[in-house]
Amino acid sequence: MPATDEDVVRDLLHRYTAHVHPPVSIAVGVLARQRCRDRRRKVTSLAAAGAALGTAVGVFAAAGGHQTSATGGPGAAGRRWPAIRLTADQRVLYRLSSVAARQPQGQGRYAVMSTEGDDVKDTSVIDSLTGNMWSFQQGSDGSPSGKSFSAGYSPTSAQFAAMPTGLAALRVALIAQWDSQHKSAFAPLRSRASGTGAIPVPRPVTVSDDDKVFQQASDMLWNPLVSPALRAALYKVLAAVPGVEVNPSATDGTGRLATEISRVDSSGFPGGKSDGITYATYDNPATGAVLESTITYPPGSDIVTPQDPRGTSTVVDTTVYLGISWASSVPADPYGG
Amino acid sequence: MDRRQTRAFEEFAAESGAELLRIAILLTPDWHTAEDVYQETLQRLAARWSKVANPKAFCRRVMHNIVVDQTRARARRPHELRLFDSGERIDPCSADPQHAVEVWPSLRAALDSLTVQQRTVLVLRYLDDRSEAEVAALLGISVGTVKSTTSRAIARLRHFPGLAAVFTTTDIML
Repeated sequence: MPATDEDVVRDLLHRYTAHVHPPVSIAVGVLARQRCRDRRRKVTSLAAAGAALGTAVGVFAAAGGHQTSATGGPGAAGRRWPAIRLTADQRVLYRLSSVAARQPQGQGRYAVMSTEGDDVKDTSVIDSLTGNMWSFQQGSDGSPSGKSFSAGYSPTSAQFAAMPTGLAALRVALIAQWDSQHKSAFAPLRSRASGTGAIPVPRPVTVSDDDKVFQQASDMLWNPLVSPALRAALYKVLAAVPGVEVNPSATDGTGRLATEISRVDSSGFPGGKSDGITYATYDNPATGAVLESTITYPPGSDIVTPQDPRGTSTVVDTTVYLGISWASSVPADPYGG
Repeated sequence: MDRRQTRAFEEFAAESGAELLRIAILLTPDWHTAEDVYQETLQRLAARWSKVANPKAFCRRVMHNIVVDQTRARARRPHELRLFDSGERIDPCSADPQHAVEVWPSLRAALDSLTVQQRTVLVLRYLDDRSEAEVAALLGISVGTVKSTTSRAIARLRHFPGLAAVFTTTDIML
């Protein structure tokens, strides 16, 4: 029995909301959209890398004898790589590949990477032996805004170095990685959704193999742990993906000369509105390192803001890579936090 | 967001989703808007998941900011007339539909008459059971402001037509 006005208010608020439960589909949709937004920043999980490597080894063994076997893995059947006349865009990417291949591997256990995006400066420290990552942030007002630690965030240098660098095997490995990640991300959600009975099980994302290859390859390029050989192979794989556009005389957001590599992605939920998102990286033509990555959501995409709840404007999500250095120990918080 | 983070986010959404949606329902004018606010809050949390130390506090602050933004946006737009019934005359949670018909619209209207800050303070204090100091920290205001805002909000509810009787009876039948 409520005794005071405060008790009455408490009782009213609790009673009216006591049995409210959010639809599972909301969290499912959030995660699906987040996956699209994260593609530039996300690296492959350790389990996915292992699965992909396993698949790649099998395919590589088959491809090594110039056999086209249906058991070589998804997408491998019948695929050959004939000699081709390179287009202008492909020649730019092949030059980028040559430049990347000549870069020295970073010396030191820890890669220290400075980025900027959403008015937040970020310094990430990635352990090349364990994949652990420390992240320090500085807010737009110049004060430290947070730090975090993620165990096993990135594949290790050794795991990247173990990935195939042959184009056919690498393409198949990237597709297998995508499939593995997608399966592991959606399995618990589908399981939970099906357990509730009334809520429909989320349908899978529809993505072409070319979408998968571009997403995975461009996901890796920013990572400083990627070996020069793998980086070089990734540029060549990108050169073979239909729909890739290359602008060799672009500049990034800070005015640095860059090679822009972009592609309009066609993936999305069946019937969803996420088609037409453009992913782009701006790469240093002298080193092959990523200077900036952007995701451009066209009008009508699922990305909305409080100011634009209908999503009628173009939204550009940008990450600028300011610099990479190497250290033998985890440095102190550069922002004094 | 890697697989481990996805799983942690999913667990957070499963554990705290109902709490968050309850808060959203009481902060917004209708259920549809509440679901939109809830979804936008989760979206912003997902975008910064690896950087957020306290997801619950982050969500409450973000939810408040979204509601403030929406309120300002609505104020700038021409007034809209509802062409159809919102279907919220009856509280779906109530065990007594008759009383629900009487009290729920009044409570909804009473909450709509409050400022966003008053509404947020009430919800955080009495639905979320946060202390005055916690509410002050979450909203970036002083404890004294929390106290005075709470007092004024309760006074407004107490004298709102349709709710006055609730505050004077010794038992609430919803």
